[in-house]
Amino acid sequence: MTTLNLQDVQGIVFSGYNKYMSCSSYYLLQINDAKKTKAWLKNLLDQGQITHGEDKANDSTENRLNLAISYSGLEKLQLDEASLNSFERSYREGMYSAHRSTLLGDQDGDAPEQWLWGNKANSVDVLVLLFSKDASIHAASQKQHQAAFKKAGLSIVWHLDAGEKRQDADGFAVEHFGFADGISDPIVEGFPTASGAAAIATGEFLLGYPNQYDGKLTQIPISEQFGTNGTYLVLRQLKQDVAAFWTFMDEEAARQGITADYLAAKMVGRWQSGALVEPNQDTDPKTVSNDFDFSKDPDGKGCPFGAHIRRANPRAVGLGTSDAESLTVANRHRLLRRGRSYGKALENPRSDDGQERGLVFICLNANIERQFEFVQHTWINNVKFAGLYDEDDPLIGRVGNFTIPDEPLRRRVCGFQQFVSTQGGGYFFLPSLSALGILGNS
Amino acid sequence: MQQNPMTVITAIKPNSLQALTDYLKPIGKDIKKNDVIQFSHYQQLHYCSFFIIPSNHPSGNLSATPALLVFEANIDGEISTFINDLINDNSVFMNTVYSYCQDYQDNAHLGSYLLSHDYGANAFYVAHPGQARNVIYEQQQLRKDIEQYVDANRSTLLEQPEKIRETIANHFSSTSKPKPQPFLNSNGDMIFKAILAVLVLTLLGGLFGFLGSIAQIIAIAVLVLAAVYAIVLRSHESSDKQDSRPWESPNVSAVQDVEDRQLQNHLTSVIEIKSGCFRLLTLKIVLFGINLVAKLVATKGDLSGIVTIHFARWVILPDKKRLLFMSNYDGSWENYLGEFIDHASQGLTAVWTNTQLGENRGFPDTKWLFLQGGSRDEQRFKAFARNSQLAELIWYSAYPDLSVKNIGNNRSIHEGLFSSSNLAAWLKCL
Ligand code: HEM
Repeated sequence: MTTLNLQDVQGIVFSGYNKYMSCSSYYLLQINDAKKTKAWLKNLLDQGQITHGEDKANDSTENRLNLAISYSGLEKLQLDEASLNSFERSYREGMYSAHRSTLLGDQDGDAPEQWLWGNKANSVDVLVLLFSKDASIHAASQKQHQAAFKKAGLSIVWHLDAGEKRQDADGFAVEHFGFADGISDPIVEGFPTASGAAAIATGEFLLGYPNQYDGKLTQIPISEQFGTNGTYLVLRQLKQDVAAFWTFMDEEAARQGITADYLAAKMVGRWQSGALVEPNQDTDPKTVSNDFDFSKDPDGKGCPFGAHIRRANPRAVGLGTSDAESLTVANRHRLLRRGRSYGKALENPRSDDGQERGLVFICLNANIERQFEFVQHTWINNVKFAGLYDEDDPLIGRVGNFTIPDEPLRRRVCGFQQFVSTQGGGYFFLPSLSALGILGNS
Repeated sequence: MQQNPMTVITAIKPNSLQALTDYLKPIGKDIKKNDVIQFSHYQQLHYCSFFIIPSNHPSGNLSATPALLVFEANIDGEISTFINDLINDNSVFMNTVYSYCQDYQDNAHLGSYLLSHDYGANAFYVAHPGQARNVIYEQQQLRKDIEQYVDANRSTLLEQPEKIRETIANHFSSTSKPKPQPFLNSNGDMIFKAILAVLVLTLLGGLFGFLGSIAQIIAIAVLVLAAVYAIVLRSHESSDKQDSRPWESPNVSAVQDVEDRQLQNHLTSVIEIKSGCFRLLTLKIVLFGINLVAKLVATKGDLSGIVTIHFARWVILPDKKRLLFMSNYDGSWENYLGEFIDHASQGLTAVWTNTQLGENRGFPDTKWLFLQGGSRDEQRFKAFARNSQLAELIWYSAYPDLSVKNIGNNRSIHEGLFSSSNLAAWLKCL
């Protein structure tokens, strides 16, 4: 059993603060004066403003704050070369670099040159995640921190506000297409949130602990003292075209003699309530559960192979010769999702209001290449996934083809447009509190 | 039609390295449209590549040897036919390339020069033995046609499975029957098991004296030899040093630059064999075993659980000091290495545990050749593999848009047009 020093781990690792914090903002900052930035960092720590795992929220908690640093940020904070080189390659190269963009499918309209932030022209050094209990507290907190950024030699490259979040009857967040989100979350050994049998080793999400490969340690940057209890944070601003999504569902469903809800659910792999799509179902059963591994649906007749959740985590089918082997393999590529929607919900999902909205996709992982990039490249974007020919993730991909296994013949949906596009992104390191202390005092 | 590995390895003339590189690189960058050579013209060619092994790769230990040019191809039929076709149809290219190499004479001798420098493979894996390039093309076209037909007629096709098959088969009645698969594809498994059984029985029978006293002596000798081998192995393993430096070869950026440009990738790894005849011998035995498995067991697009390799080969270089591994695979490097670790740890550890990046920079610590450690040390193994890699100058794939699974599925679709057994499985292929 792994015992964690919760005080040393930033709180976002354990929770997205969904329960008590209804507002959040994401600040993407550039360091202009490292000396001032270090002093600011030290001050945040000294005042106990950086939320850690021991600091549990309750009804009276007003704010949460976490902080992550990109490779260019560490460069500006003057780490020496050997230290810089000890971080994993993807992080050093950055999400916008040519090879990473090819891997991630950030091409054409999604290419870094088109991004609002996070590319060469608008590079980002520091990410600050702010959460508050309600809108008025949030407004005050934003004002206070923005002033502090200025004094800390930090300029704002971009910032994203998550409007007050939408929640369904089960308490799940609802993303802009209208689906319950945040249902499947890895149960991690040693996490205070882990109830029941932990399925995933601590080292998959925190450096310095055994991982899913026979309990080996994932490479720790700089030193044990610096790297332990830190992890990598991936952020992507993913714009969602809600009206296009539902308009297409209506049209295509009418053409194929099915319903829009059915078609959309097949693409996600869950119904809007969050219930898994199972074989021989035409409507949402509204019974949400995460207790499945696809072994009852080996041919994808319920949840298609190409569906978002089956690509994002294929579980016990298709990655090995047995269910158990497949599950072992799948569990070497898990993500801890900590993002939220940004922008206001579209009132009539069939009619665009010209405003931008989407998902601030955030995930944590101990190895970006083996976890986030792998999931994005080998599962989500892979047109050959599960023996398919020419289709990627129908929800968030770019190809626009989708196969729905059915009896006696599969159904195909072809030539649809892209519904989600990349507007910005970056790879960050989420240091432990002691590492932040080292940086602040350096 | 049998697939064969060609591995032509020639020494590059001193001072010609740069000129050769400069000649090949632009062709590789524009493999489809360059005006020097169109590899798609060769109908027997599945994959080929050109790359250079620097004299100091992977370590400086061998700096006295010249840099080598490797021209490697996976082809249908005879290698000599392919070589003759190349020399006839692209003689300028072929002669230019080899004029940079030692012992090259002229066009007239080029064929025999290449053949005499072909080292084939110590072990060779083919995902779909017997599938000629043209068959792969034809079956892909057939699948596309059927897909279109089903898309357009889905609602009227929805009947009993037998009826669906009949309608489709009737519509495509002009299609010719697929050639039967090679004998070993369906029977190799059994032969392999039979060989194992005979070996075990002979050993046991000999040991207990059922097969006479000479057999008994031989059996005992075999066991003693195995025990001695095990002791020597463990003593090597306990003194070998794994690479413990956080170290990245300067080649890695170049390798990354030519990766992930399409759905498939090509991997070239050259690594030193640990010194002494023990490791070389072990390696040869392991490769012999892998070759046998590839020929007899792994004949259905699946090399011990890895379902993304089209072709792979292991070649001990002529200097007997280095091991060359090449493969053409689907998807990313991260996935490929992951599959190796997830499914084929034992086989790959048995091979590469005999190798090192340099003095005291060996493969991750291993116990009992393949039983423990080795590639299971995920990050160390990935770094080891990464650092052994070389970037190719030219790489050609005849079907870059087809995965190993696609090719197998296309074949099943074709076969199913002519057979009504296992209908439900066939309908899932469409
Ligand atoms: C705008 C973009 C996206 C939308 C609207 C979206 C939506 C959803 C929804 C509705 C679910 C099901 C609810 C749940 O299981 O929590 C889900 C699950 C998931 N998504 Fe996404 N997603 C998006 C982008 C991404 C990206 C970029 C990735 C990773 C590269 C990703 C990875 C996952 C994973 C790992 C799961 C959980 C799968 C499981 O364990 O069953 N998603 N997503």
